Parts: sequence; structure tokens; C-alpha cells
Amino acid sequence: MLYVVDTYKGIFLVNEKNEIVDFEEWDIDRMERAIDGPSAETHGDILHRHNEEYVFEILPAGDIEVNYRIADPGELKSKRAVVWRYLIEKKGFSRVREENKKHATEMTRREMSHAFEARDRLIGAFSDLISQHDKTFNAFAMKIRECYTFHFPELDKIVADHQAALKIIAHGTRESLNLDILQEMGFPEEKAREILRAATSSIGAPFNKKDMDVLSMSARVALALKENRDEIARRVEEAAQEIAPNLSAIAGPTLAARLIAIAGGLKRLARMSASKIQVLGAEKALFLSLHGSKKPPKHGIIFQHPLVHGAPAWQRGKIARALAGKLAIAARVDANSGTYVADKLLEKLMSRVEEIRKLPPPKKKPKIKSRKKRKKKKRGGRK
Amino acid sequence: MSEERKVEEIFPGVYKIGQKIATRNLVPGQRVYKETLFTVDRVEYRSWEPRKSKLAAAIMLGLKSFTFAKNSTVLYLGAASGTTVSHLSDIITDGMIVAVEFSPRPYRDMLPMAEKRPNIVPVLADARLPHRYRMFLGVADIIYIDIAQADQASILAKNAHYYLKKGGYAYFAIKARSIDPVKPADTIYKEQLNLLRKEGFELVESIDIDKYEKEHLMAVLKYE
Repeated sequence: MLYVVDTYKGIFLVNEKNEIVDFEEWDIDRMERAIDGPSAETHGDILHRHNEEYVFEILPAGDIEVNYRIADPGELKSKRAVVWRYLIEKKGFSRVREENKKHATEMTRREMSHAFEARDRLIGAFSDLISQHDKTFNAFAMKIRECYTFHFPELDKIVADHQAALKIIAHGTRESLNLDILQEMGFPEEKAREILRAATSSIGAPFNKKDMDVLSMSARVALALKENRDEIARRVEEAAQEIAPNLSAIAGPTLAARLIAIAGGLKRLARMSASKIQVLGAEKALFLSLHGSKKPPKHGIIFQHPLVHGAPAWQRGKIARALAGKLAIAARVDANSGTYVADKLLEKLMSRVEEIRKLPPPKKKPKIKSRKKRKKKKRGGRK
Repeated sequence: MSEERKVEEIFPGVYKIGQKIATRNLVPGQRVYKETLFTVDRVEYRSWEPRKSKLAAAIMLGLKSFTFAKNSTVLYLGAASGTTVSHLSDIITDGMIVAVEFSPRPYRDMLPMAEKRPNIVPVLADARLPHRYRMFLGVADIIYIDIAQADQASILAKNAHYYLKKGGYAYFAIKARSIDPVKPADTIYKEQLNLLRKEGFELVESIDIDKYEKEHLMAVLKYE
């Protein structure tokens, strides 16, 4: 009977008399594959050198093709003690500790990047889900409102916001509305009165209860969809801050999540150049500019950042470039499980933005009247 | 900044300076959390905050069984951001702390700290699956467990069966609310300790650290 003791250094075989019978060294990759348990791949060689019954600490992770049993709890303790004592005697405690630490740290690094890897792609997928939610919600809300138009056609002109209109539809017929209920829904007094006036004098037909109930349910489902969308958005924000704190600090968590989504993962985003990040999301425009004579896009999805869309048109390109530069750095730090450097990055970014903001608007070039340009002036009429 | 302060070693590696406790900084000049660094007689100490570390809280409230020695091998379950781990690292200068944590997030803060300290072996794993870190530990002298999980007692038992030497000690930080949101804390403590008695543990000392951490108990147990 031979006991199998796995260590950072390799596999030891110990017999019942506490003697070390065999040893096989392994590298970190093989050790990583053995974490869940021994297998032919990780332990095959050494185990086939002997013809004994083996005692494992844990169930084999794959086919093992040898006689074995699983140790009782604590049975391997003394064997493990023997092995470690041997290692320490041979190499000295400091050396053993150092090597052990090195292996464990590397394993931890790998585990951490696995843990974050799945997570960042999930955030990307969630981000896409939110976009889908928005599209679905809009289409759904419109159709529901169309149905309600048979009963209360004036509502569409008074209430533009889908969510607000849906609250009314979820509540029921126009006859069932009153000031209190409308105000509870969040309408300001004046608006509520306007709705009520229209409701009482509406030219729409009364709604049969069954029809109203069914439509009301649709409205509730649509509202629930919106709520779910908002919850997902909150979750995405939280998660973006967790896995990419620097990127979230500079781009804002929502935009950070979108960038990760488009890139297909945090690692991929980190590999991108700043110029690529600048136009992520504007692929169509980019394609057209490279393959035709159109001007290249100045910004892709980073347009959503307040620094970019809040700036006057002639500054946007420069700001987008500066922002993308810092985003690239932030993504790299985050992907490599680094520290929090966002403060320093933001400082540098803002000082660059201040410089850009001081630039005067460019002078308009005098328009050269060319025949081609003339033809573009369509002023009605035919063709 | 040198000062005329009396430094009293209350346990090996644990110093009482005035009303506070501290450990000797293994990495002088480096702060781990927001603790105070101060120098007395050219030796730099890190103040050990009872509000940040349950072990410190227990010591401040009169813990007598402090079995950590300079060369102990400690299995630390629930390393989190490494606050208590760092102080044990100060103390166990010639020992080894295998610091197990499940969540990658706090571990991110812990890694840079652990890097500078040769006696910390970082492991990202679920303490419910002790076989996943069998490569990094032979036999432990002490298990320190501070994880807010309902099944923490069974996690401790499992790890003890795997790794704790006969006659080894376990430091068990019990968070009552992690076990049951409603039951009175004392009942919970009793039940947990009973569970452990059945697993071969003998209670050596227990300190109620409610003063620093609401509804927490630090239990010191011996493993037969």
C-alpha cells in the first residue's frame, strides 16, 4: 500500500512504514491540472512504476487505471508530515517556504484571472441584454399604447413618456382615473389635470372589462420589463466597478461595461490600442472611411462620455483621443489585477482637457462655389 | 519618531504599548491597512487595531491562550484583505501562514502585501474543498478560521481532519448572524461549540468580543 502525497514540488509516494519510496517532480501546469484530484495525465507515470494499492487523499479527477482507495479523514496527515519534514531537511525551511509561496502565488494569480475572466464576459453579455431590453421595451410599449388608443386616443399627445403612459394603462380605463391616483403615479398636478380633462371629454370608446384587463396586464408586464432592465443596469454598474475599477472610474461604470461588451472581454479590451478604443462602436463609419473617401469617425461609443458629448464639436476629436488614451491605460491596469491608479489618470486627463478647452473655434473656410456643390442644393420641386 | 514609551511583550511577538497592542513590522516602512506605524528604540511597530482585527479584539479583551509561535505553521481560512494575516506575519517570522480566501476581490488588495512578506503563502480557494490546497501545506500547528458562513463549524472540522496536527489549536471567530439571523447569540455559540466537541475539539477559552464586533465570539479549541 502506497500513500500518494501531492506537494508543490511534485508527487511523493510513502509506504506504511513512513518511508518515502518514490518522487516525481512536476511543473506548475501539471500541478494545476491535478488540483481537483489525481488523473492518469498528472499521476500516470509515477503510479505505473509500482504495482501497489494506492491511497489517495481525494477522488481521482479522471481515469486512473490503478488500484486505489480514498484515505480516511486524517489518515494521510502523518504521511504528509513525513514528506514535508524530508523537504525541509533537504532544502532548509526558508527555501521550502519560498518555493511553496512561489507556486501558490502563481496558482492564485491563475485562479484570479479565471474568476475575473468569466465575470467580465458576463458583464458584456448583460450590457447587450440591456440594449435588447430597451429595443423590446420601446416596441412593446408602442404597441400597447396603440391598443389603448381605441379607448383614450388623446393620451398619446399629452404623455410622451412610455413608462408614464403604461402606468395609466396598467391602472385601467380612463374613467377610473382621478387626481390622486395620477399624482401617485408621479404626474405633477398640472399634467394630471390635463390628463383628466382629456379623459373625461375623450372621444374614445368605452373599454370592455375583459379587454381592459388583458391590456392592463400587458402594461404591467412592460413595466416589469423596464424595472428588470434598470436592475440589470445597476448590477452591471456594480460589477463593472468590481472587475474594472480604474476603467469604471474614468469612463463611468455603464460605459465601461459597454466597452468591455464590444471588445468581448476585459483582456481583449486591454490588448487594444488607444486609437482603436477611441472608435469602438463606430465600426460602420470606420469601415466606410477606410474603404471610401469619407472622413474617419472621431469617436465611437465613447461619445457617450460627458467629456466628449458635452464638448463643442471642434474639440470632440481631441478630447476623444485624450480620453481613449487614458481608457487604454486603465483597461490594462485592470486586466492585470493592478492597483487603483484612476486618480492619477483623471488628473492628467483633466489637465489635458483644460488645455483643449482653451482652444478657439476654427475659422470657417470660405465656401468655394463649385458646380458640384450647387447641384446638391435641392429646394423642392421634382427630382 | 522615537518616543519614551514602555514596550511590554505580552505574547511572543505581541507588544503592549500604553493602552494599545502592536506587532513588530516585518516590512519596516510599509503600512498594510490604515494602521499607525511608530518607532520605539529604533524598532518599528504596527499598531494592531481591535476594531479591524478580531484576534486583536480578543487580546485586548483578555485572551490568555495565545499559541502562535515564531515558527508556527498556520492555516488561515478567510484571509480577506489580509489585516489579521499581516499581524500574524509579523509574529510568525520563521513560520508559514497559508492564507486561504475564496473571493478574488479582497484578495486583490492582499496580494501586493503578501508579496513583500516571505511567510505568507496566498491561496485562492474554497475552504469547503481542502484538497484544493493540499499541495501547499503539510500539517498545520494552528488553524485560524474567520469566515462568515453558516456551515463554518463543519468547514473547520473538515480542515482540521485534513491538516491540523494532533494537539493543535484552532482559533474560531464565530459570527452569530452568519449562522442564524434570529436566534440569540449565546445559543448559537453554544450550539457551534457542541458541534465541534463532537468532531474532536475541546474548548480551551472563549472570549466575547462584542465590544469591538457585535455578536462575535472568539473561541480557542484544542484538537485531539
